[in-house]
Amino acid sequence: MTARGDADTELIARYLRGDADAFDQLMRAHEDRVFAVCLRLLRDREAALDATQETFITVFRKVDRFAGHSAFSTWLYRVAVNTCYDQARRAGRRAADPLPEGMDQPDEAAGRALEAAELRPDLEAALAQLSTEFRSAVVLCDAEGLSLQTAAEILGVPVGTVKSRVFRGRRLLAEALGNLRPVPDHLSDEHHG
Amino acid sequence: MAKYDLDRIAALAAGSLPPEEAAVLEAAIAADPRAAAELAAQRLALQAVRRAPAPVLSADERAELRRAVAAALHLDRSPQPVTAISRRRMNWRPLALAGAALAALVAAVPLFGLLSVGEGDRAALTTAALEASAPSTTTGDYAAAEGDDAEILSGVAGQTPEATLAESLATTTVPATARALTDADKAVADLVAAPAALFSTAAPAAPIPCLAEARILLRHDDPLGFDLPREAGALAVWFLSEDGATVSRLVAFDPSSCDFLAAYP
Repeated sequence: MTARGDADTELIARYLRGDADAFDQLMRAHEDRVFAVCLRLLRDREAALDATQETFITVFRKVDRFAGHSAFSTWLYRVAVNTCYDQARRAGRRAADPLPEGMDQPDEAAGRALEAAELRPDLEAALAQLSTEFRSAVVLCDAEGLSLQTAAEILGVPVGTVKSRVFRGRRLLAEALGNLRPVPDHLSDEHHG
Repeated sequence: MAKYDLDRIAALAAGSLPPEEAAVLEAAIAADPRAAAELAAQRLALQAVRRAPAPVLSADERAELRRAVAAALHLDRSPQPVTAISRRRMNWRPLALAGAALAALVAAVPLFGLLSVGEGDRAALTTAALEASAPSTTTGDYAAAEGDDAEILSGVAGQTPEATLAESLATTTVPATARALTDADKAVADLVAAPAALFSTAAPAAPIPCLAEARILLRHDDPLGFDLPREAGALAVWFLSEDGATVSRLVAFDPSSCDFLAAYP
């Protein structure tokens, strides 16, 4: 196990013994990366903050069931990704609901959230064009620098699936960035799928 | 293009191929416009993502996040640490003796549970009610209220689970109860260490008494195990078991008032 993994294991044990400082240290160690993943997946700062909060609450509530079969951070990311998926689904449902009469005003909060987003606008827009599956694979492997194996554990899919999603996600991202002619999709299908 | 493995192109773009292999593949791909376009796309996307600054929380967001998470976990109520609770745990023996004597006196309300905490690192716990403490018995008679629990307990210390409450109360004397409690230390030491089956690990359908207090004292929202009061007047006992087979933390309450009675460790 890595030094970070060992430290996490020790902190979890201390937390379970009632050590409040261990809670602070676990939060400090992971909160930025969890938030980064959530923001890159959800592309909305408020939603990302909500998802980050929900992720940590879920993880700490269940941390005594953490068996240590994988790294704590892997489990944490997995909860974060699933939380983001759930939140995106909920948001999708809400978006489909008609607004009450008189409520269709310009959403100033959305504009502020976009301004506050720390992703580059072009990358933000390009990521937004990827499906959730491709985006999560690209974010975990390329943005977070996780291995294909770890990303596969987090996403709950085979490594080959992650490879394919990363490859095709990068290509779609490049196309979305507008700097490359689209590569015919069937070319990659000769190898993947 | 078809002669190139896309996994290798992706690996080349990510810089994860050995230098010699990367040089050979790069040279070969350069002669194939479509493969070169694919490699360029991979690199472009990868660089765009890697060069983007990682989002970070602002100071206010960070503080609010920690506050909200701590509040949800009840860490913001300054609960007494479990280790501190153990230092002020009460001496259960006088309480149990007094309770038993009172029960024998009124000979009415069935039963109360009792909790015994070991002196060393290992806890001694009984969630069973003291139902049978015949004066002639030197090993102590403990029986759970029903079914499996009774079997487990009878297997531990040779109890007589079939003894009725009325019989035990009618014949219980304080010395007998004291012997039973002493013997319980030895019996329940094994009980705590092994049979998780004694404890319920599923959420009960009925409301759990003293749950809020248990959460605060255990600093945990979701006790893994607990023992509901089996009969009116019984103690509610809460515990956490990390591996499902040993007791790691435990608090006990009077379910009628939720007064804290004892804790382990």
